[in-house]
This record gives sequence, C-alpha cells and structure tokens, in this order.
Amino acid sequence: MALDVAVTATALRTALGDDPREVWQRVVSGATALAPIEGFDASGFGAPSAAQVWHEPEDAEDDPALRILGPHGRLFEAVSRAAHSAGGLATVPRERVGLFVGMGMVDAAVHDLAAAAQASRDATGAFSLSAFFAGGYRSVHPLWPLSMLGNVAVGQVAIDLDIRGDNLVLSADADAGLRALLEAARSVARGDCDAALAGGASGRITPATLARLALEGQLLGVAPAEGAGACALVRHESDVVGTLRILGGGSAFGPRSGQGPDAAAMSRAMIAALAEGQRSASSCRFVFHHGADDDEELAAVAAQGLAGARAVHTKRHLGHAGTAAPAIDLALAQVALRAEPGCALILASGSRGGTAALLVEVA
Amino acid sequence: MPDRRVVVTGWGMITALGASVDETFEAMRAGRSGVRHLTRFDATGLPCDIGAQIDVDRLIPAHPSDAVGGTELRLLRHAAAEALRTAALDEVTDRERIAVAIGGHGRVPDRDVIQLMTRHAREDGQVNVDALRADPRFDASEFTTRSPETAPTLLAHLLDAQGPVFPIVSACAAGSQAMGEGLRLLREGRADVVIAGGGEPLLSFSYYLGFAILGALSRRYPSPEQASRPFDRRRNGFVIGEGAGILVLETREHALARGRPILGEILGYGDSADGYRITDMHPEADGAVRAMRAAIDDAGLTPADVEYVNAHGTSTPINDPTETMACKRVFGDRAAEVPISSNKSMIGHTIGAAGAIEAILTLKGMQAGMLLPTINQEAPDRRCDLDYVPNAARAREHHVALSNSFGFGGQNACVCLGSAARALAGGK
Repeated sequence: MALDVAVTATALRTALGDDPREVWQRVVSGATALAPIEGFDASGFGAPSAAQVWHEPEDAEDDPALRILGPHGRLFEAVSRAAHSAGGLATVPRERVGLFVGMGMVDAAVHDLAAAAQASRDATGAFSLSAFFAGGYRSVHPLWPLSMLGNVAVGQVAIDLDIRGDNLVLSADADAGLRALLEAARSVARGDCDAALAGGASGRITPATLARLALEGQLLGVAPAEGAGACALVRHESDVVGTLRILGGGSAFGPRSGQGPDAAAMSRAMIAALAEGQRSASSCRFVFHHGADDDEELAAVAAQGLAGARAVHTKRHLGHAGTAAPAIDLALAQVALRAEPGCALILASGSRGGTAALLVEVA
Repeated sequence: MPDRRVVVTGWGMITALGASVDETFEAMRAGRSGVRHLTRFDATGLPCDIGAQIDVDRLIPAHPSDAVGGTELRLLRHAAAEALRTAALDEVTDRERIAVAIGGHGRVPDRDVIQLMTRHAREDGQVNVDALRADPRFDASEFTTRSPETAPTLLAHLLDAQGPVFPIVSACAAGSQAMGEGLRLLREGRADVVIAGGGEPLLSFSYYLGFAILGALSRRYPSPEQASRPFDRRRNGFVIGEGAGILVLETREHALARGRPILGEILGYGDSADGYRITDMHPEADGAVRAMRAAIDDAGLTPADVEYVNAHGTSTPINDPTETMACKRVFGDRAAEVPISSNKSMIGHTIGAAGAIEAILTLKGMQAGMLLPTINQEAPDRRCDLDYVPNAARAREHHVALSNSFGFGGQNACVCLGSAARALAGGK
C-alpha cells in the first residue's frame, strides 16, 4: 500500500534564495550559486568555489542560542519555523507532532578552543597540554561541548516549536537526509504521529569540513554548499488540487570501489520506491538526481526505465548541500510538479555506499 | 498473516567489565564496578580523572578498516562478531534483506588535531589555513573518518549487509532508537534481519574534556568505584564509560524457519521529545512518561504487565529523581513493587551504546532469572524511594521489562522487552 502522506508546506535556504518558486526558476534558467569561498583562503583544498549561505552574526560569540544551535542549526531552525507555520503544525497537539532530521556533520568547533590554547602556552610559546589542563581549559565556553552532539540543534528546534512526538536524527550524508523524510512519512502513515516536521541541514563550510565536502563534491562533479530544507507532513485525506504527496521510498547499501553506492544498490532503492508507491517508471515526469554526472547513477536510472523522465541536477546550480539536499529537492519538486503534474523520483546517496529514493506525486 | 513479532537471536558486547555478554553479566551479578582512574590519557588538572575504560588488549584484532572507522568501528566489530556468531548470521544468504541501525556519534578531533589547529590559530581565533596546509602533520582526510556514518557504514560493508543503514545520532537515546527503528523495519517487512546497537569510544581527550566542561561528570568520589551511584543521595554526576552492544533482530517467523534459538523479544518501542531544555529533563518527567507508555502500548500490554525496569539511571542529580517520578506516574500504586536498577552504576554511561548494552543485559537477566543490582546504594534520597535492587543481584523470574534511555537534547526512547520463554510460548 502506498504511503500517501501529504506535504502541506516546504521551506528552504539556499545560496540561490529562500523561495522555492524563485529558486526553481533560477535552477531552470541555469543560474549558479557557486562563488569563491569567503571567510578563509580555500584555494589549497581543490574546491575554491562553493555555495555559501551562512554569514556569522557579529554577536555570535555572545549568543547562547547560536552556540547551542551552531550555524547549521540556525539554518535548520529557520526552515523549520517556516514549514511549521505554513504547514499549520501549531494546531496539532504537540505530542502528536514528529520531528525527523538529517543533520550534516556536526563537528567540535576547534576554533572555540583558541582562547584556551592561547592561555596554555609554555615558556617557549608552544601549546602545553599540562598548562591547558592546569587551568587553560577554563577559558572554553561551557556550551562548547554541546557542539559535538548532532541532535542538540534538533532538540532546540523541538523546544522552540514545542514539538514532543516521535523523532529521529540521522547523520551525516545525503541519503540520511532523504531517509529522514521517508521515516517521517512512515511515522505519519503508521499513525505514530498525526503530523511531522522533516528535513535536513548541511554541515558548514570551514577549513576542516571542506576537505570532506570537496572530496565528495569533486567526485560527483559538484561543489560543496550550505543550506537547509524542511517540510510539514500530514496524512493525506482530501484531494486538494496541487497537493504534493509522498507515495513511497526505498533505501539500500552497496559501496562501489572508490566512493558512493553502486548502480545495483541505487536500482534497489528506486525499485522499492516505485513498488511502494504503486507507480510505474513511466509515470515519473522528473528524476532529481543526486550526482551531476555520476555514471553509476545514470546507469541505474536508465536500467529502471526512467531515462524518459526529465533529469534534474539541482546540485549543478545549488552545490551539494549534503544532508539538506533531499529536502531542498523536495521543495523544488513540488514547484515542478505543480506546473507539470505527475510523479518525481528524488535520489540521494552517501559517500560510503548508502542510497535512498523517494517517490512523490502531484496528481 | 506473516508473523512479524521481532525476536533477538544474537547479542554481543564489550564494556569495562568484560569482552562479552557473559563476562559483563557475571561481573555485574557480582556487583563489581568497572570504573577506574583513567590510563588512556593524563587528565591531571581536570576536575575528575575516572572512567569505565575497556581493556583494549581484549578487543578483536585490528582490521585495515579501523584506520578509517577508528576505535568506534573496532568496538562495533567486536560486539558484532559475538552477536553474529550467536545468531549464525552467515546462514542468511539474502544479504539485501539485512539492515543496520547503529547509535553513535563518530569521533571528535583528538588531542593531536586540537593541538595542531590551535597551533595555527591566529590572534582573531581563526585558523591560519596556509600554515595548516603547510604543516606535514595535517591530514586533510582526518575529518572524513570522524563522521557519524563512517563506522556504521563500514560495519555494514564488512558484514555484507546490503539493506538500509541508519546512523542514529540522538545522544543517550541513540542505542534504543536503533532497536526501535529495527523493530519498525522488521514489522513493516522492509528487512528480514536488522543488526542494531551502538558503540562509543568516549574516553578520548575531547569527549572527556567536553563533558567535564559541561559539569556533567561526577567530581566527588571516595574511590573511582564509588563514583557512579544512581538514585543514591550522594550522587553528583555521571561517569563516562565506553563500549559497544549489538543485537541481531529478526522476525520470529524468520528465526524459527532457520532453526535459531530465540534469546528474547522486542515487544514494543516508544519515543518522545521533551521539548523542554537541552540538558535538563522535563521536571514532571512528561517526555519520559510518554516514551514509557508508548513502548508498553506498542507491545499491546499494560503497565501491570511490566515486571522490571532497566533505568536510564545516570547518577546525575536531576535524572534519577525525575526517572523515579516517571516510574511512579507510569506504574501508579505498583511503582514500589517494580524493581528498577541501573547498569550505569557499574559500567558508566556509554551514551549512544547504552541503550543496546542495557537491553542485552535486561534480556540476559530474564534468561538467568536474575535482576542485576544498582551498586553504591548507601545514602537514601527521599526523592528516590523505589526498589533499586540495591547493591546485590536478586534472583527473580521475570518475563516483561522496560529499558529506558533519555538523551541530552531531550530525546527519549524506551523499549519493551520480553523473555525467550514468553516468545516461544506464543503469548501476546
């Protein structure tokens, strides 16, 4: 039986804008968000261009909420608030609202230790661990440790929006972001919650994260990006024209030599999504690809009879927002399908072999 | 109708008290503590210097993949080896129907990386990238190995599990959420087998420093062994432990078809968000109560059916009375009759691994007809006035239990567990 869960609102933050219709028009017209990386010299990392969204507020050091959320968390909070409001989730009993999130890599903010390190130098000026333990560490902000836990930003969003139901936080690749959407839809379909907020946030582009994102981006032919996406889900009960519905999904694991999933695993995920959604490949008007020029993915799409669907490569324009990419693609798919009703298959893959597919439809 | 009841056919673990389920269980039955002064690194100067360390020499031999997956992968491989052996998982030929759900948080930058980054910090606190790149000790790939999905996906690869992989990062609730997601995958027919659990290499410099700065760790203790004292009036924080626990879950139909012994049953799962504060539980235990009730409801049972609670029991000032309140709200007049105990009194808090380790110990207790104790019960707390199985294990046959996990960030998860005898008897 198809899931049949309705998407009542979407929200996104990308380097091409925050309005799904405007971002879709920019993608269709071939615009690019990629620009030289700001904030530090990234020329040596092999990926000097990226799609950056986040700019550090001047009061960041003094803002406890910013410290708890981190930049990725603030992006997710923004899209969550928008989707929660537009989707009418405040009218649903808070214990019956779920929260399902794919979080990008949440790394300890090493630069937050800089002051403590400065205070922990020995007579030669070198960093001294014994001096650090003897008292230098007291310069570290007490909220610094929370930056190490991937779910803390999600917990803060639950507090801010008064969400208290079923929940899950997955990390840190794009397939995790798609599975968060899918598990949210399943929770609503099962009746574990009446409505759900689901989405994802990218990691932040920093010298430390760029190594990973650049490596993945290079192999997929896309540049790294920051961003976030969220949607509100409810059980589909009425046929309102233009409603986007999640019909099914699938996920699989099969690492190829090198990086990412192999074609067989991607095929299994697509087959599962189409089967659960009870739709044929010919019903798909769009395929939102994960990679830009990934031969394995293209082979898998062709093998499933999806070559006739319009191929959409949002990452060529928006960069690769990692865990946020599926929720961003979902918001854009809604715009595309309202103009050309039918189904869309959204694909997402992880660097280590995980892959997932989500089937959506505007009837 | 397919039989979608979910049973446990394999288990494995490594903790500070042993390199297997039996070793850990027997040490706990004897009421031993695995908490010691740290030897992994010199914590002199920090407000505390204790932890529940595993014996690295007892770990499964290193594998080349550990170079990428790190200690987290090695811990998971160790627990998985025991679990897969118990379950004879090699017999399962359809590897596309084996899923993996693992709670854990990857790794944080270790001391060397922090030293390197701070060495190249500019006066404004930002990293001098040019100097960093020029430093031969800088490894750009290091970041990629610390991501939370690295160890779970490498584990799936090594075990040839080709179904969905769930890297779950919900702090202390992650291990229980892994089992809960596994239960859902199996009930809905999305997998035949789920390898579920968690692993955390927490006794690293950065994690330890972080929790110490947060003020969450026990700082006052007459001896390391006496530091973790859940529900006792003198408790003053938790003790970090490290370890891993893995369960092999499958439908009862699948297990019986391949003739595997059943070790226990996952009867139900419930979760909730506190939506209150990041580091504090809801003062009325609302989230904990909802998770516990949801797990009981999901099992098709009532609170009257529950015979034991494996507590989250962290030894923090806030958790233990709040969890006590939760038990009173769930069990009502029966609360004082339901034994509750905390494994963390002996193996510390293993965060993302805790839910899996404690579920296995709960099932093992049912198998042995034994309630594991909460040690270090010396000074009663008037707000913690239930039966915590103080200091000594207690022989008691029991067949239905809850295992609680309440996380930093406000995520709560609870699994309802049943004995093997109950699963085989075919009751509800």
